[in-house]
Amino acid sequence: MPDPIERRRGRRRRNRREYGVFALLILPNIAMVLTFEYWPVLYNAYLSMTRWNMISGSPVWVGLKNYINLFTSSQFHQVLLNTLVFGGFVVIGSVLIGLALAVLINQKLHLRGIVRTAAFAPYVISGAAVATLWLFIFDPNYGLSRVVFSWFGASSPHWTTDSAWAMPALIIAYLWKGTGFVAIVYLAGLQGLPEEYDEAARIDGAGRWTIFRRITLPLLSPVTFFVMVITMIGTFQAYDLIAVMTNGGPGIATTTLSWFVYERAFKASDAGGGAAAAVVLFFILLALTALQNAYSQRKVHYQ
Amino acid sequence: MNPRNLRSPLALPSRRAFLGLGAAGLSAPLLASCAGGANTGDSELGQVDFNAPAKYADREMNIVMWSATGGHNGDVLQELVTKFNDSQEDIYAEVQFQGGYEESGPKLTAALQAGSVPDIMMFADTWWARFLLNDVLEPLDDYFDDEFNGSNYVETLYNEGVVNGSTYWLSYGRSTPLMYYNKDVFAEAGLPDRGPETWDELREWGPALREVQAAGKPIGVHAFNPSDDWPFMAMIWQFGGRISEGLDIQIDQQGAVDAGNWAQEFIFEDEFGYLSQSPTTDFGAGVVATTVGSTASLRGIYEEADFEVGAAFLPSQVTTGVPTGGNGWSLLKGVPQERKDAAFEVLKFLGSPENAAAWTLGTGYLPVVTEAVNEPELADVLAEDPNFSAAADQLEISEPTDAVRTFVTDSTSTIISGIQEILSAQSTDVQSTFDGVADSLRDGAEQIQDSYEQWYG
Repeated sequence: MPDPIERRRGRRRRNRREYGVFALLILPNIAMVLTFEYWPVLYNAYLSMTRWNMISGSPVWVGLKNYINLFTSSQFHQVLLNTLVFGGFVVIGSVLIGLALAVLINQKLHLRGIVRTAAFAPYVISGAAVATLWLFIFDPNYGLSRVVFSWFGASSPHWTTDSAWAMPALIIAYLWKGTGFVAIVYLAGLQGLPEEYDEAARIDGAGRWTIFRRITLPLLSPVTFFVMVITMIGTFQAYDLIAVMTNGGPGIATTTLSWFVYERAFKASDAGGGAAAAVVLFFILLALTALQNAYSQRKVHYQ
Repeated sequence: MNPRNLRSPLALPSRRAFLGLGAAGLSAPLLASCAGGANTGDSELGQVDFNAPAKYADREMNIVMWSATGGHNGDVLQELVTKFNDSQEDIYAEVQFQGGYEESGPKLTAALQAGSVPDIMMFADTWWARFLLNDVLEPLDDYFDDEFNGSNYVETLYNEGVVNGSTYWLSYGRSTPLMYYNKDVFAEAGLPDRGPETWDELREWGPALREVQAAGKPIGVHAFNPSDDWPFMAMIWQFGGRISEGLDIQIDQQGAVDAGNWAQEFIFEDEFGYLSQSPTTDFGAGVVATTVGSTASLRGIYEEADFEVGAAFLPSQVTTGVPTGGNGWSLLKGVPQERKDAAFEVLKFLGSPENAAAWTLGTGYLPVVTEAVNEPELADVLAEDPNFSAAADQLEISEPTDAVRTFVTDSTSTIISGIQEILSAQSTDVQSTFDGVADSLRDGAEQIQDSYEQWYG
């Protein structure tokens, strides 16, 4: 029988060893996160207060000059507006089309599996491929767009090279790619809904539209919120479609914040300006994420 | 609780080895990023990855070339480099296509930061000098010998790469814009078999051309290029303007604004022109009657078109205006000497009359090496195909590109953006758009003024 003090000491030693193992096991992950997540954010914040062309020399401290330049430039205002318009239309479109699609594939249809797969497929295709595909469709000279418009005796707009049409073109392509995901999330939401409320309402004589509007929709509101935030964050990161379809043009008609960051930093070799715009992007995303967290903790529960 | 139970998982050699590997894997990128951050261009630069086929695997030196020409012209370059690899046994050269000029240029910036670079870089005429101002390019003077040197090259083109008597950029795929026209369509419209002499003449021909149907609708008269400011700069010159004279910005002045207004009317009021995603593709597909494209598009268009292609001098308006363009090669200063020496062997090979002629024949780029035009095959084609000789003849009235495009980092994308704005919407006011472009070009010019004077003062 070992003496109790000896035993406690043993436990302490064992504890220490457990911590050691723990530290060893998480070290790779911590190092990874520090190296690839936190360090770049901090370094970027530092760069945003410097002037540097990234080719030679080293960053020169300029304080808040890059931020002042950004916020006083009408170009940057246009970029923010573009980002908002793009995000807004994509979010609204995804929710409406995604929900409609989910309701549709929630029916007991023939070939339901195939329809579901088809709806989801665009989401997993690479953005560059989707963009190339839509460039063909939108081509006013030999694309599908030409054919469709000619049915109505009109000629196709020059989608990607006309200031007024480039943003709609991007939104359409993005919706096509992303809506399948939204539909699947809604579908899961729909299938998780309790049947009792529907039944009760039906017994009270409510029509299908009323049930959908007064019962299904409110019950789905946590799903809708989730979808909106995820989609919004997605649009802030949109890069591939813009890179392949419009390069942010014509002019800056489709330059969103993320594309702007790339243009400033790498095409204009202006590390400071790009970094400052990235910091703005960072805070917008941070705010959106905080909003999502706050909401998901106090989300409306009907059950 | 036996302490051994706790220890045993870690005591297994395989786990330990595994963790060790993980730690090693982690520290490598950390170290690499430190080295990259500290790099100022003075230290020796590493080399980007390459993948030598087994056949060349045991070569003493491996050279990586970054190219900005893909597609058909990229194939021609690859053929020539393969020929180089087979011509000797010491050096393996690998061509890596890095996207167009606007894509490959920024990639080199990133590569310099990472500290591993290609040994040979293909730069557009508008890109190399930005790197020169940062002092990362190698002067080529000491590599030349009696047989291979600047005097082998067409003087005006070669001199664009010379600064203060030293050569930093060796002309390779040099070009001028040409007016391409669809001969079959011109014949059908009852027009003469030649390019328009002035832009106004093209406008006069517009109604006749619109009578011709292509794929069920009236054919486009002219396709404008939204992704390059080079053809539009030519137009500005032809309307009597300049983008800049030296670093003195003039795009907000009369000639440039006239050109913008003319093009805007041509597109929106006459409905003759349009901004095309890919003008040469549209032209090759026969949906537009004319477009301005590089001499280097000639071969590609030949392959695509099932009609007879005409290539003519650029139209003039108040004056003529033909800018040179295209690409050349540079070496990087920070690369170890033996790699630079080997890299120069590749340039020497590509610059021989025989290989320069093959490059011109395969692509349509100008013959930059004077002796190349005496190579029998090229001589025949130049004598027989007026489209090829048009390019060479037009060279006589050509001038180097406006300086702001070469030196100011952001200039081409700023100008392109301005051109896109005015050509993509009728409501855009040309003067105020070009005022905005001029402002940001002036800002950019101011920032590089000091280093510009250091090199060119």
